[in-house]
Order: sequence, then C-alpha cells, then structure tokens
Amino acid sequence: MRSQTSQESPVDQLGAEFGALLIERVAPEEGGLYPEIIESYRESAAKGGKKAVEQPLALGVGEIVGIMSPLVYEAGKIVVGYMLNLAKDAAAPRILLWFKSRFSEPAPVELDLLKIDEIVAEVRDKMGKRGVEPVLNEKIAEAVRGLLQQSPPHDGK
Amino acid sequence: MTASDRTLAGVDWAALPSGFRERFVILFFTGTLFSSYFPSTTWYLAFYSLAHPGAGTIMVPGVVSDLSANLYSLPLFICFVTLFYALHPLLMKRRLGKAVLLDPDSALGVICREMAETAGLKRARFLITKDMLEQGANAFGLPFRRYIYLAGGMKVVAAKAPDLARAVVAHEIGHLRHGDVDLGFLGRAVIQAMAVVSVVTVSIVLAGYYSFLTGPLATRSFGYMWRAIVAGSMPLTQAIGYSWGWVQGYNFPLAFVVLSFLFFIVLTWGEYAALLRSRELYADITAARWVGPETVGRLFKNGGRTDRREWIRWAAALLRFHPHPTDRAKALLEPWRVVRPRLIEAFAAGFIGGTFYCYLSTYTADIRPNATGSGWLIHQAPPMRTAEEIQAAIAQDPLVLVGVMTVCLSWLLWLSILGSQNLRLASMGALRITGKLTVAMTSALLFGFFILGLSVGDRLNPVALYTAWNQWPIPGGIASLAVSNWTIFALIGGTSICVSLLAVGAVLCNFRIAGNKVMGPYFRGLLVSAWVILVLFGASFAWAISRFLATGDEGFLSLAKSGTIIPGLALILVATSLLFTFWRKRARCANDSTSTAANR
Repeated sequence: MRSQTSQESPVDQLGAEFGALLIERVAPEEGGLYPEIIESYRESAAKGGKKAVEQPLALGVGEIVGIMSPLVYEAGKIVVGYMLNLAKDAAAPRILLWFKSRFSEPAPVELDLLKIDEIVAEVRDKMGKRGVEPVLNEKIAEAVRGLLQQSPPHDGK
Repeated sequence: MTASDRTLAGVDWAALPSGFRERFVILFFTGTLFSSYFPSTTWYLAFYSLAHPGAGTIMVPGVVSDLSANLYSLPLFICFVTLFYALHPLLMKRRLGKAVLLDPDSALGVICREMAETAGLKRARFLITKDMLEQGANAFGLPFRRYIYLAGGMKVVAAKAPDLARAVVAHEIGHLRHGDVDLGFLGRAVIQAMAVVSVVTVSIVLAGYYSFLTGPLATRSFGYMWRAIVAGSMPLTQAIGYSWGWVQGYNFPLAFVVLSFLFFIVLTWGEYAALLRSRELYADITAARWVGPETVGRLFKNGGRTDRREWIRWAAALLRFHPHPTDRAKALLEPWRVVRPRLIEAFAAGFIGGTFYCYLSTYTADIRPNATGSGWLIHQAPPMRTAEEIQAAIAQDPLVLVGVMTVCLSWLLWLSILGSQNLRLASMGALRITGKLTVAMTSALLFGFFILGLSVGDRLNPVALYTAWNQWPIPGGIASLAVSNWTIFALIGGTSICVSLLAVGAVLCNFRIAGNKVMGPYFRGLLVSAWVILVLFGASFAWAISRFLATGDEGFLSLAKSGTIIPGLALILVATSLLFTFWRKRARCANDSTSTAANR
C-alpha cells in the first residue's frame, strides 16, 4: 500500500492492507489498481462524496463495470475493527506484520473457527446494510473466511 | 469485430458515412434554431436598418440610430460567444479535475492508440484523471488541440472489460470525427452568451436605466422579442377579453420580464440538449462501426437510469444531454428508428415555425410604417420602459398573458418536435446504406414537408386570419381589435389542438395515430400529413366561404381561393411520396425487413 497520512486511523490503515489481500481473491484483475482506487475512495469520502453532473459529449452511462475495491476495503475495516476489539491493546503493529506476512505467521489474536464465523457474519451483516448485492456480499464474506482460515493458530504471544 | 457484428440487425456498419454531410445539416439547423431565438431580432433589425437607412427611430435619449444600436449589440453577442467557446477547454478541465497524459504503453493507452489508428484520428491528446471511481470519458478542445479526457476508473474498465473500454474510446473518437466538439461547445457558448447578455438586458429593464450604451441593448434585443410574442397573441386575448384589475399594476409586468427571460433560457437549453442527444446516438452508431454494435450495446445494460415513471423519464429527458440508455440500446439495434426521417415531423415543425414566422413578420411589418419604434400595440410616444409597455398592454387587456402562455406552450411543443427532428437529421447519413437516390429523395421530401408546413403555418394561423378579417393594418390601433372574434378563437383553439395532437402524436406515440402498422413509416407519415392538410384547409376554406356568404366581402373569397394553391403543392408531394413509398418497398435494402423480423 501507498504511504498513509498521519491522520489515518489504525482501522483505516489495516483495513486497506487487509483489503489489498482480499481483492486478490475477490477481483484479482483490480489488484494492481487497488491502491489508486482506495486513495480516490478516501478522497471522495473525505469530501462527502461527489455528485454526478452530466457533461456534454461525455459517455453518459454512469458505471460501466462494478468496482470491488471500495467494498473489500470496507470489509477489511470491519475485520480489523473486530480484531482490534479482541486484542484490546496495542495490537495494530502486530496485525500489520501479520498481514504483511500474508498470513504465513500465526495470528496476533486468537482466531478459532467460532470467532472467524462471527467475523464473517459481521462482515455479511454490515455489508448487507450498506446495500451490497447478496451475491457480491457472499463472495466477499467467503473470501474473508478463506483468508483468515489460512493462518496458523495463535501462538499465545 | 466479427462479421456477424458488422451485419447485426441487417446493417453493414462499415458502410456508415464519415459524418461530413450530417455536420452540415446539423449546423444549418442549429444556426436556424439559435438564430430564431434571442439574436434573431437583433440581426433582423440590423439588416432592416441597412436596407432602410433613417427609417428607424431613436428609442433612447441621445442620438442612436437603429443601425448603430444593432451593430452595437450584435458584436457584443459575438464577442461573448467567441470568448466562451475559446475558454471551454479550460472550464472543462477545471470541471473534470486534474489530469495527466495517458501512458501510451498502459493497457488503456494501448486501447486508445489502437482505436485512434482504426478511426484515423491523429490530432488528439488522451488524458486521464486521478479519480478512479469515475468511469467514462469526455471529448472537448479547440480545433488545433482536441482532448479526450478519460476518467481514472477507465483503467479498471480496461483491466476488467477491455472491449467495453474500446467502445467508450470509440464513442468519444466518434464525437471528434463528427465535429461534435465544435458543434456542442459552440452551441453552449451561444447559450452562455445569451444568458449573460440577457441578464444585462433584464437588469437594465428592471433598473429602468437607459443610456447611450444600455438603451439599445434593452430595447433592440430583449424588448422586441417579448413584444413579438405579445403582439402575436393579441387576437386570442381579444377574443376572450375581459378585465382583471389586479394584474394591471406595475409589479406584474416586471415579473413578466423576468419570467420571459427565464423562459428563453430554458427553451434554448432544451434545444441544445436535444442537439447533443442526437449527437450521442450518432456517436454510438459510429462506435458500433468500429467495435461492433453488441459491444456498444453492453455499455447501456449496466448504466440505466432509474427514473421511476415513464412520464418523468420523458420530461427529464427533454433537458438531458444523453438519451436514456434504453433508447440508446434500441437505436443501436434498430438504427432505422434513428435514421428514418419522419415526414409528419418535418411538416409539424414547419407548421409551427410558419405560425411564429407570421407572428414575427406581422409585428415587424407593422412597426415599419408606424416608424415610431413602439409598434402597434402600445400607442404612446417613445421612449418608455419595457415594463411600462407591458403594463400598458395589460391595462388595455389583461388577458394578453393568457395568449402569451399559449404561445409559450406551442413553442415548447415546437422545441420537442425540432429536437426530434435534429435527432433524425443527425443520423440521416446512415440512410446512405440504402443508396444515394434514396437519400436524395428522402432529403427532398423532408425538406418539402418542412416548407409545406411552414407555408401552411404562415397562412393558416390566428394572426393571418385576423389580418384577413380586419383588413390589416388597422388604422386607429388597438381599439379596432376589439371586434368580437369568437370564430377566430375557435380557429385558434382548433389550430392549437391540431398542433398539439400532431406534436404529441408524432413525438410520443411514434406515429401510432396513423394506426396501421402494416404500412411503412413513410406511408403512415404521408397519411397523417394528408389528413392534417385536408382538415386544416377544409376548415380554412369553409370558414372563408361562410364569411364571404355572411358579409359579401370578396376578400374572403380570395382567401378561400388562395387556399387551394398549397394543397395543390401538397398533392404533388403526396404523389411523389407515394411513388417513393412503393419504389422503396421494392428496392429498399433487406435491412428493414430482415432486422424487423429479427427483432420481433
């Protein structure tokens, strides 16, 4: 991911990192563009969204292909928020390292199957409330489950 | 592009024309349309002043002739148009956000390069914005530097659906190839200039500040336009005239000045939008030529607008720059919907145009002998403020406003017809797939019906009838207009209903008023035209004869006789259309039948 601003919260930063891993499972063709898309998404959100204005001689059809990156970024934030709640201490650097290792290292918090189910359910629920289509929602939720399950068990540190 | 793509819907897309002739047609019509609004009065009076030096009068304190007044406001208008057009690239760049030159070796860059080569485009710069959430593209720029601005999200499109990215780029290149950039942004500049000059004018009128500089602008440009409307609508107001005291104050006329100004802006904007919509369809068709209609059609499957009701969709579409995606997809798969000119529309457009031409010419003809500059409507010595003139008009008959509203409504209908007309003319070149003779005949017929409508509208309308009734011009002015005119009112009502039905039927019902679907569209259009001509002239003839019998005035007899000339011409056109219809039925390409069958 691109360098983040100092004002960025750990949830935003870690959510973006998790999203970068998630996008490779959900929409791999967007992978290379993910950082740029998330940057635009954040800028747009900071400005309160941009109202579409019809321009002369534009194409005039709105969205041509669906962009998944903002969705997986939001899903990533939900996952990270849950994990930070679990850890209840300064776990952010360890979580970041865990993401950077692409889950090859043990999880920084204990993530048994029950917890993973809870995380997935939360992702499904919150994304559903955001109006994400059920098919896409399911795809993202299952991708989250797949990523979290590939990690070795928590080593208790 | 596969062979099946190329011949989808029975159309050989590769055979579509370059768009040169369409540009000419559109420019001609746009020029006509725009010049019929705000600037026309200025231009007309400028020419009039040149032809009749000294005939005009001084409208404002100081020595200002008509000629100098008009030569003053016209260059001002042209300067504004030039300025806005020259500045449009800067304004567009600012609106679309910062952009950088597209990397030619990126996935999107390769697509752009390929499409530019396919289209033979040499002088255009592809730029891309940073906003990855936006998808789409824009074409703009001055003749020596054209731009295609790609939204950052097009990178995602190129990565996920390269064929759709190709279609988007092809669409924009289509705009460049058709000269839409000049057409679109020059048209926009005209509206912007109109807005600026009108704001200045209205401000002058409201402030009542007339000087050597501001007076001519207000009295020559804006003033004549509303006066023409008011003058044209007088017979109606006289026909149903009674008095409303409360509208005779000064504030009401002031509000009317402002509303008139807004009306002209909205009207012109609507026509501009109609023009742009037509160019979108043509760009779609051209894009289909390069990347295949199925690919272009897929663009419209994802991006549909979701207007809840059909009538909202239709109403909103009048001011939108792009046709509804559903309509675009339809036009793409059934191009004859776009390319087939409707004769009845040409007639209807001409008819309403003729009516208003008559209104304008009657008014301007009247001010010529009058030579007071105040026209026949208000018999007070100039100079006077516009609002005062309106107040005076209303004081004489408050229902003048009813007439104004009627005329405004008719103009809106005219707008919708002309928008539709533009749409078809814009794509007329595609007719060339059926051969040059077909195009020539179609164009001739279209023009013929337009002129026919113009002639009918010019002669058979309330003002013309009123003129015949009262032996125009009326000495003594407005008092003479108080002749009871319920007959004329009935004719006005009849005319309005006819025109409205014609417009609504043609534009909304797609000629279903003609009923028989077995007949070809030309034949149906012809049938409707024939009926309208017969009804209108029948009514005209019967009315004139009845008046002759009632009054013994031979003027009515001559009016009835003159009514036979245009129907005679109409008959010739009708016969030609019939020949053409049958000839076309035999000789037309298999496009229509094949693709109609395929799409049923």
